[in-house]
Amino acid sequence: MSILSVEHLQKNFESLEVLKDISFTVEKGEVLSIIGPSGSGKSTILRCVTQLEKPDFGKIAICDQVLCSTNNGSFTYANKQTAREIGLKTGLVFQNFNLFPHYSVLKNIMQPQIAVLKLSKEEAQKNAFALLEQMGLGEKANAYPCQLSGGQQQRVSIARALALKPQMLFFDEPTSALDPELTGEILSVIKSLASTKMTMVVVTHEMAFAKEISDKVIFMDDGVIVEQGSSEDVIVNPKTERAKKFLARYAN
Amino acid sequence: MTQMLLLMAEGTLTSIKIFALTLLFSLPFGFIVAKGRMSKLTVVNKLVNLYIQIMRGTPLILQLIFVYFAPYYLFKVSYDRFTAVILAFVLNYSAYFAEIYRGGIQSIAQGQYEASKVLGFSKPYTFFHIILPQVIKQILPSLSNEVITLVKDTALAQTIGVGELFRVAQTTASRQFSTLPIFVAGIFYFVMNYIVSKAFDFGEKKLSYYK
Repeated sequence: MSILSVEHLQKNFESLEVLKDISFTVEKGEVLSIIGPSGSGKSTILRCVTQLEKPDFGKIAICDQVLCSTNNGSFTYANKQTAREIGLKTGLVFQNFNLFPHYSVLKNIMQPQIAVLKLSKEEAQKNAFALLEQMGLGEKANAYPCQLSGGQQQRVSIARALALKPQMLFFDEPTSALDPELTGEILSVIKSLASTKMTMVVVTHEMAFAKEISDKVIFMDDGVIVEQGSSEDVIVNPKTERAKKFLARYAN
Repeated sequence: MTQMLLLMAEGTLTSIKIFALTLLFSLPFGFIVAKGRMSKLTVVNKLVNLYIQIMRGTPLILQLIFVYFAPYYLFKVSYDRFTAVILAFVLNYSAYFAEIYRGGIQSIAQGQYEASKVLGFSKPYTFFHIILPQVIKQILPSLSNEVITLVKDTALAQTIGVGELFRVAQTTASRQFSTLPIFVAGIFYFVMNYIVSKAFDFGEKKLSYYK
């Protein structure tokens, strides 16, 4: 049974069809990369799965729980309780970090554990320090986000997401706001997560990186999946003209 | 001289009462007004906007007179002058505070709400722990402007016969054939506002630990 399954997903913003008919699955421990030009709907998929947007049609199931489904043409969304349970199984890392500026690094990571998972302060702090250590930010615990570089902020936001022990982690262009040097820093963090068999879905424009870490790659354009398969199939030997044209830009 | 200062101290006390009670009610009420102003329901939004326009578009002195005398002319009921002052001030200041709150709330990036949602924070938790502290930092400078104006506006309460500081100063001045009490009142207002602005400076400094 797939940890994430998406079937015939559709999403419109007013009259604009952003997602037309999206179907894919992710297995436990897999890394899926979603690539494609801007505006193709990559981020919208993540936003539907992490409940920031409500789709209009189709089915999403995460860890055997149904977030939304469509039967005989009528679309139903999970009740609050179920949606919340599903939400706790997914984590999202944003392009521009979205750390809480008024909280220290430590509190950014501790507070969700205390408020959402109802952990004790001591436990939350222990987890937070362990994660900061893992991210190489042990000395930054008491700093505020504004005192950190973009790469450091993004590592804190990854730690914040991991602190809630999600079953799967989504990355929405995690390096697009960073310069090449800082990008490398984040990519190596994601790589090390992949080696621990964390289930991840990454929307990215870093082709070399996607090719290296992905078990599966989806190439999207204009709200549809144009190609999906192994990274070898999609990135190295794309079949469609559209994918070839897009990937040619990254060749050099 | 001591007699004069004693009288003026009493007037000052009334001014401080007006000041404190106005803040006590208008700071929270302004928030409700702001919520109404940002409502997705067009009726609510339009009505609240009209209220804000009237409060900001007419003189406070006129609003004071209206609030005190209108019930009398309309329903033949009269009520306490001091209560009328508080009512008029709260109605007026809530409108200004509402617009300050609205500016503050709208300045918070959407990403803060999204991060809170994805992390599983409840809506009230998100508002009180994530959004509100950032809004407060954001609006403190404009809030201090408004609060300082309020200290001086309390002098308008005399319009409907409430004996606040400035009225006491004026009556004392005419009784003593001297303008001295007026200038002494000026010093009183200045000192009060000095304290208010120092308090806001302290608040801003407290919150300056992050950007």
